[in-house]
Amino acid sequence: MTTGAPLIVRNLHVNIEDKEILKGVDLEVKPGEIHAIMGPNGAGKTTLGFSLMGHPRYEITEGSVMLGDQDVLAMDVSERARAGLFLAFQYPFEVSGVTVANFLRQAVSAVRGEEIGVWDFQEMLTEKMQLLEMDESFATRYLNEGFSGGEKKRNEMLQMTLLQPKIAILDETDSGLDIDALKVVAKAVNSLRGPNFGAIVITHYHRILDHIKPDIVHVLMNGRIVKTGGPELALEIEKKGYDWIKAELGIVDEAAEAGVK
Amino acid sequence: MPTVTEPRFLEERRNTARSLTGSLRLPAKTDEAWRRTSLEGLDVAQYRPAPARVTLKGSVPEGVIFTDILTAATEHADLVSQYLGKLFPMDQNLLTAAQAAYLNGGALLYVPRGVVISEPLQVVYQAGDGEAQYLHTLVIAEDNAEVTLLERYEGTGDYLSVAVVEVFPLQGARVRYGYLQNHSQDAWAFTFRRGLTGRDSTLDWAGGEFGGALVRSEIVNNVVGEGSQSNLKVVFGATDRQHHDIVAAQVHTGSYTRSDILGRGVLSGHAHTVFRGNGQINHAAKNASTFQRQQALVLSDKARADSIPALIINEHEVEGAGHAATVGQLDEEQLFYLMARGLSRAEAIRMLVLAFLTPVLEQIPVAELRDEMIQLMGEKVN
Repeated sequence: MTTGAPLIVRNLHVNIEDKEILKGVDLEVKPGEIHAIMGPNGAGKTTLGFSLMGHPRYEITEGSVMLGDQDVLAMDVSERARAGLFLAFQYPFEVSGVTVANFLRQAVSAVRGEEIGVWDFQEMLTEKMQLLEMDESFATRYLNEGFSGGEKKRNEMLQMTLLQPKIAILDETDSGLDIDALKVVAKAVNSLRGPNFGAIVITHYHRILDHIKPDIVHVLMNGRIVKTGGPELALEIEKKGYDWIKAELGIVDEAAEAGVK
Repeated sequence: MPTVTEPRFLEERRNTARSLTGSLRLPAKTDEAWRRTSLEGLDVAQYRPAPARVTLKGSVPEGVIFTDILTAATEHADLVSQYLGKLFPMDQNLLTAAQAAYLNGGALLYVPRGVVISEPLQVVYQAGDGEAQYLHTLVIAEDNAEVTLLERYEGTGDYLSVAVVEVFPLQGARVRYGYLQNHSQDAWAFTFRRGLTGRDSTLDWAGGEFGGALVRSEIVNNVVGEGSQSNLKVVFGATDRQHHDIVAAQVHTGSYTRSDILGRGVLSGHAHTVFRGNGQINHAAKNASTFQRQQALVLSDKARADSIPALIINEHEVEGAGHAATVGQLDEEQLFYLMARGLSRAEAIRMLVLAFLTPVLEQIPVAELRDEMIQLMGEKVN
């Protein structure tokens, strides 16, 4: 892995179709740290992941995002990936006609900036697939086509371990997974843990955080980070939900009010 | 004009055709079949019929005839006269009449009963600026014979190419016919392919359309022999101001017959493509089935793909029939996903285009043809 870089998000405001979803998010993830971002539905969790990665439908109206000394907002999607940013999608897209192996080899070549030989790649692929307890036949299937939810998430993790990003954002990677699949996701993240790797685990539930111990836990509500704490904050949320935070901070959960669930 | 003495039947055929050229006109947009293709600007007389440049590749066993059509007409007059034009009348329009009158190239492939040729045979046609190329290919495979023929069309400059291909697999024969159309971007190209299946035979068609300024390409396969089958696949790639008008038809008159049509194309620039799929089951063709699927991927705002599927069923006892046609653009979400893994937008588009074509390409039985199509399509996307 190349040297890590911190992700510094300052006052990030993001619109989708003229509606403001993120209302000034501040976040700093240093290499070596694993952050968890929790929050009720509609808080803006997915918006955060997608806008950091540069999805065209999300409009950044204010704020800055730096990866080390690189201005992330000035880069297009593929440049961000090559700079070391990775987003594990909650609902990965299907790409029929492109095999997993073929796609991954191109992606790894793109991120490394040089073509990886077929044999070298095969070795890497086999190693990571074993780590993630994936059957060999996976590699020849079309990308995400006909994959179960668990298989899609495993495929996201396979991509992550091969691309070795500086900062990985996991967008509710735990949703819809059984305990075994969840453990594999945790295995993937933990295998990358180190002084050059930082991660943001975005989740609604505490469960995954039993397996990926976060260093810092944030709560995203109404488009802002309203509370930050250590791992024990996640436990409190598991026990008490989010209402106590709303009460403590005098917040009216706009999303809940609007019936977004 | 030919310098050797031609056989009587051919001379007579040319004469009949020549007089027809006096009275027939070019197909017009008022002709239903040509409604979407305008031939304005085509002056047949401006192109001079030079002897066509034809290269044959491949070795054949004893008894097989694989030679250019004019030589074949002289050396195998009976065989050629028996089949020439049987599936394609010359009096349809000025182009068909000119093709018969000024025939200057083509091929005859004749495979006797039971002979199996495993390596594909190839014919390459090259045309040059100002030329008129009038071609005719006959493929006759006798009972239980097996053969694969590939025809390739290339050229430079502004020229006219009118070609007729007639394929006859007799009882139990298996014929695969493939073609790669890579005419010059300034050429007018008209190709009329016809087939007639014998009992229990298989006739598979696979083609790629990439070149030409204006191209009209027809495959009309008559599924006549009881129990016969046919798969038809066409891949097309059109850019700039190209116009591709493609007809793919499977016409069933035989019982217990099966066919399918699969078409996929990619358009960019200001290209215009028309894909007419026609699955027809005539009365008394019992327990026949025909399925067709055509898809076009449009990469630019100005390109236009006309998808015209048709099913004409005139028989009650049908095994199955279906059609599907879609025209679509690249999925921006898919592009985002691929770019989020480091691929540039151009690389992502290339990957999606290739992925779109793969299901058809991988079914093309001849590896060489398949690889060339992939390469040509790659060049078109850039």
